[in-house]
Amino acid sequence: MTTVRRNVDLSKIQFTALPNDKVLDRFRCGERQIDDWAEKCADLDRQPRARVFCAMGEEEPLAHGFYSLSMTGVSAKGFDERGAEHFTHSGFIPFIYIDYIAVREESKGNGIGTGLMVDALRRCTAVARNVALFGVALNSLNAKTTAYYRSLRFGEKSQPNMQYPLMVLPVWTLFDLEKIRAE
Amino acid sequence: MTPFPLMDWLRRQFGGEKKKRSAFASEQEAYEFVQKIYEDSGGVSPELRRAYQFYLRNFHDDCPAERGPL
Repeated sequence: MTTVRRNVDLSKIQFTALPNDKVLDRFRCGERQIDDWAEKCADLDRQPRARVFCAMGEEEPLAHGFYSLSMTGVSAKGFDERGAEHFTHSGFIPFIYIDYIAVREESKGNGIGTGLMVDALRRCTAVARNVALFGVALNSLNAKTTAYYRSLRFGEKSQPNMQYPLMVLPVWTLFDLEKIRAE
Repeated sequence: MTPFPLMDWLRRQFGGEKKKRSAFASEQEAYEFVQKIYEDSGGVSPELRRAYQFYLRNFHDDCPAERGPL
């Protein structure tokens, strides 16, 4: 089935905490793993094991996209033990994890993904100003996203038998990024 | 007398020793890894700068530090 892309007025987009359980209904982004996760992220947000933020259009019932932040990565259960990989035997590595970041198929091509990524990084910066962190981490799901994250200067931590590479953006890059506003 | 470490025993019995190798051997290794990425990359890349400027130009630039009511 062909997805019809739509033009989105970015000036009407607000990045907001998950407003209700329905905004991610029928979420399809082309990555089944993310689509499955979107179905249950409202529960994870309530627990709270993740914090979910959405790109919402004015008076639109469905989110164009979302990102999710946590301190532990996605729960290992059912996700190839991705969450468990983040812990060391000796302790906890202080990263904020972008569990998932995705845009609906029909809303792609408008720059919403870029907006979501920058908004996520800004939110991480706000945390890093108050809590000591090493950076922002994520697991890249495919070669295309890995190349994109590399272009943003996420460093890759290669591991044997790791399906999804762990990628990290240093905390100092977050602080440098905020300086651009003052230029 | 030390109490019998039941939880440790259970963990060993049910695969606790099979825990996968983690991404970093220690917090120190993670810190040095992140430090090296920063030094090698020189901070904000042109692509990240473009993304940030795109965000500032096109979206509501509020990103409140607080999430709002829970």
